[in-house]
Amino acid sequence: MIEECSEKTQDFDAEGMKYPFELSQVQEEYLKELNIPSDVWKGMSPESQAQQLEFIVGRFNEIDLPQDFNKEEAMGKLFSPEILESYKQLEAPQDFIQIEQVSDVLANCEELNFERWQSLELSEKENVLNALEVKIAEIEHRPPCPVRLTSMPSNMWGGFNPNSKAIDINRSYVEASAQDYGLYREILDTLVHEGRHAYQDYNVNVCEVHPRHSEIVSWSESMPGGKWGYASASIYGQRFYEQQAIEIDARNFAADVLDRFDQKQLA
Amino acid sequence: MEKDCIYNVLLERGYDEKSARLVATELMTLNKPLDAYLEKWVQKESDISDYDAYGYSIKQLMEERNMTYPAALLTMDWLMKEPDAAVASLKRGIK
Repeated sequence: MIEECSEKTQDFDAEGMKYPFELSQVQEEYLKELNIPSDVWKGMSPESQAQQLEFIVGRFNEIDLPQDFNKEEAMGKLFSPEILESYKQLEAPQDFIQIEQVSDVLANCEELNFERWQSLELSEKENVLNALEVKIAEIEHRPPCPVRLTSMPSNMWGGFNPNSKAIDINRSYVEASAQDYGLYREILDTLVHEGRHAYQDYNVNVCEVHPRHSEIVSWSESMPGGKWGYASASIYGQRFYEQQAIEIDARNFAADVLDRFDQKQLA
Repeated sequence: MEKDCIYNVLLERGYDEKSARLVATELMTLNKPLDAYLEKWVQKESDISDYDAYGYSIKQLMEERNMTYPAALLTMDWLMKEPDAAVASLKRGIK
């Protein structure tokens, strides 16, 4: 590892506001060393491409990057389009690894210490949720979704919008989460739950990165345009909504992540 | 009551073909007295009978959770058949 490449380059203005993180020239050069021209990349075997991608990811990991750093965006600026495309199509980790990594992201987030969370302004909470979503999306090998706090009926915690690709979370509950640990935990569960819907949508409609094709098929059946379509509770009743494949999957995934997060909080 | 009859009424009242087909099939299995309520509603859309169980009512489900009458009937039917699972789901809310 080149030590200077691990230094953060983040400055503050006179009012103490952070500038967005940017890689230094040295860091960019260090990463670009691994760039391969498009025509050469296309001639490489899949195994060689995979190995080169591993080297690239390894160099990114050597740099002390902030939580909300968008690696995919950086790769787009530093590497050939073919390398970026190959990176996006890398198979996502198995679910048990994703669960572990996502729970690590939550556990390592200082702002999620409940006392710290309670002191944050609503806009800061929104920023934290957005930063977490960038990290979660990276683990899941999908593009990050904007997280928006919106007004919703009281029986709704949140939703993933497949048209805008945004994650909406009930603003009132985020506000109230400062006073209630249970609500705070439900907000995190909602973030992970909706992120999983984004992952399902990405796999069904854009690119298969999930290791199990059969699960993607079952998800596709309960999505708009699928064999059964999406069953909203308001049209189909609560049971149809609850028992469709994409809801069972998202519910279980989020529950497992939050369980591991709870264990790490206690450790 | 014939399933086709329910299906056609659902189509007339805003359901698309796919949802009408699935919901009509499920509505055929409603417990009493919900089956009779459905029959009345099929005859006349404004004829909405209420019923409550386990802390929920059909009208409450329609008003607070924006459910259609058929959706509320199916949810109430679930409450009657599997109260623990249905209550837990309703308490969990929508994500």
